[in-house]
Amino acid sequence: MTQHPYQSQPAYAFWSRSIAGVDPEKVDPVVRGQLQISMSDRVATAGSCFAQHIAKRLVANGFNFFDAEKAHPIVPAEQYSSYNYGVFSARFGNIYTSRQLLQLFLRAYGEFQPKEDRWTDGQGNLIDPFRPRIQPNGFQTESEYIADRMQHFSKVRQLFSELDVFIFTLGLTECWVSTEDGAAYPLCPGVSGGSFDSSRYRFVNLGVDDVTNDMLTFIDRLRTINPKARIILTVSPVPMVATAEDRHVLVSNTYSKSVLRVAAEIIAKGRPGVAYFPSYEIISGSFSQFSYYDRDSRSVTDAGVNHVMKLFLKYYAVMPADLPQESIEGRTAANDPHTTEMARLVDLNCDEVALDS
Amino acid sequence: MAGERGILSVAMQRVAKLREIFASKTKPPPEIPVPLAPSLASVSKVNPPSSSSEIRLAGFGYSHIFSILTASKLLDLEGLGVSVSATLLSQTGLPPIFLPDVAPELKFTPEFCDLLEAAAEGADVVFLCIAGNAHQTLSLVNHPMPFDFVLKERPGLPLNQQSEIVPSRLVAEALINQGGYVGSIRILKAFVKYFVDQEIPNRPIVQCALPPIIPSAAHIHQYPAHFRELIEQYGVTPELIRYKLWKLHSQLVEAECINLGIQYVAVPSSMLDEHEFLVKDAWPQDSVHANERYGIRVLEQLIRLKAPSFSLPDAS
Repeated sequence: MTQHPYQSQPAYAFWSRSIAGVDPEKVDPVVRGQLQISMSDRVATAGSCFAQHIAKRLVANGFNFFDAEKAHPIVPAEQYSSYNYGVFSARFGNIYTSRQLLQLFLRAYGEFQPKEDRWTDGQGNLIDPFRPRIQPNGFQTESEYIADRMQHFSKVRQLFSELDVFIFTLGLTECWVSTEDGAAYPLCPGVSGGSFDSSRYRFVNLGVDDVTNDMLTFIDRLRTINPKARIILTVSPVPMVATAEDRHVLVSNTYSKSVLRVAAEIIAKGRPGVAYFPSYEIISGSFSQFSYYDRDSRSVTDAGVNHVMKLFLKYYAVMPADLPQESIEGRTAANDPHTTEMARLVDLNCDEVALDS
Repeated sequence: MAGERGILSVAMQRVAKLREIFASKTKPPPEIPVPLAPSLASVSKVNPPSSSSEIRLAGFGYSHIFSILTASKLLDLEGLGVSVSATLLSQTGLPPIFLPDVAPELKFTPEFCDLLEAAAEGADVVFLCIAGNAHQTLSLVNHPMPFDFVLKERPGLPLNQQSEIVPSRLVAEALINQGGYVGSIRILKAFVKYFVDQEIPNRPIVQCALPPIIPSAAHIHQYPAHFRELIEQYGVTPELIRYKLWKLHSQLVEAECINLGIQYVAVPSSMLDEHEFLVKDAWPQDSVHANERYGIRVLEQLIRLKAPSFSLPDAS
């Protein structure tokens, strides 16, 4: 019999042995962890909607979720979610694209100052174009707007300089940028503030090179201030709400996720201490018969998130010797007001949905 | 996380302590005479109003009513055709005020209704001094994690650089979510409902404004009362932050009054200095109230609701 490379491949390399013949909830595409997170590591999260799930579950499972921009203790807990406290590691809202992430870093360190840095809502409130839904009805005064943003940037700098692990979920490739200076907005102007003007804004659909260059630049800059920062990349399995391309949203979504997936692979191989975690594959893989999506074929179910986090904990968490994994998975944060509140954040604030309204 | 728990725990203990202190502060300071019942309330007369008929004021409230009560006793009102009845709701000797908690509305006991009826009988103006201290809970003593915010009406006021900036709408939410605020507004609503339901025409029902803050930290250190321990531990909150919280609280109470359909009687302009702090002449020998000079000017405003040209002399 002829020898060939597949003969020495492990079971997980074969569809028949790792997918077709396996219970869906036991499918394990992770195989091995590429870096480790201890319970004391400061773990920061950012990215698109799916990253909110990760943040919530990290807290619920006892990880040291790094929340650099916490709500002040006087703030009523029921207001945390609508003011975007604890949703990500700072109040930056959803960061859908690599361009946004890179520009956030540059803005926080004063290296990029977009010329158009505020909108009004017609009722005297100011809207931050780069986090247009960060709080209900925007900011009441310019003073508050400026003070809050300065504080936000200060917290972002603290976050980047002190985090141990940064989990970033790549969400979209389509975005709108300023024609004047390339400032990238999370939402199309006019959707949640501002007004659309084709002479001031243009549509950009980032390609593999764009995403790769943005992310590698970001990682290199991050490591100039935090050389030990470890990075875990994921691709959001949540499909896009709408496309600005003249084609079916399903086609655009496939393109977008493909670009992000390829870029993530290149980035993870391009720098040490960067791992790709396949949450996209776990949720969208055909093995689950799409049971990890809700009826809208877009929202991810709890079962799907559970599958992702179970494998994440298995491969990436360094457990204390006297704490079996099951107890970590089942742990809640009932004794800590903050983490209890975090666990309560079931109503995810996915501002991308505003496109549909 | 342990650090955060610690801060939260300290903050919660502090809020509980402040609530305890404010609960006790509603009891009268020993040096101030306490009206035991409406029948014993001050009735005085001074310079007669333009109308020959007597003007009767009936008031109900907590600690801030002392400045009005003391003012009415200081002035010789006899011959002015003005009588003032001011009932301190936290005094001993009153019958139980409310029936066992009936959410969402408080209801008066029959015994207290009798007292209310007697106290307000023939009154031309009903004034209330309720809901006056919620801002102090957040403001008087520095928070373990100092905070500041931008007041919409005066956005140019400087921010404390050492403080965490909290969105102003969230500071309002924090005030509203305090048990002290919620409880006091429930009480205010109960009084308003009682008097509105009486349907007596041409009888204003008004809520008196919250006295402005005393800006001087030295004064507060001099008269720390129950706050001594916390002030020693955390210090007095900078006056501008206390001012902003007072202003915000005042706006909230005024908005409640508008919703309830009653008038909110503003702070007498002569009692405000150029920064909208309480003028020094009106500082009492404590940290959170106003003295009888302030009470005189409030009394004057209340009388003017019926006799617009009326004026009272200053306290001697």
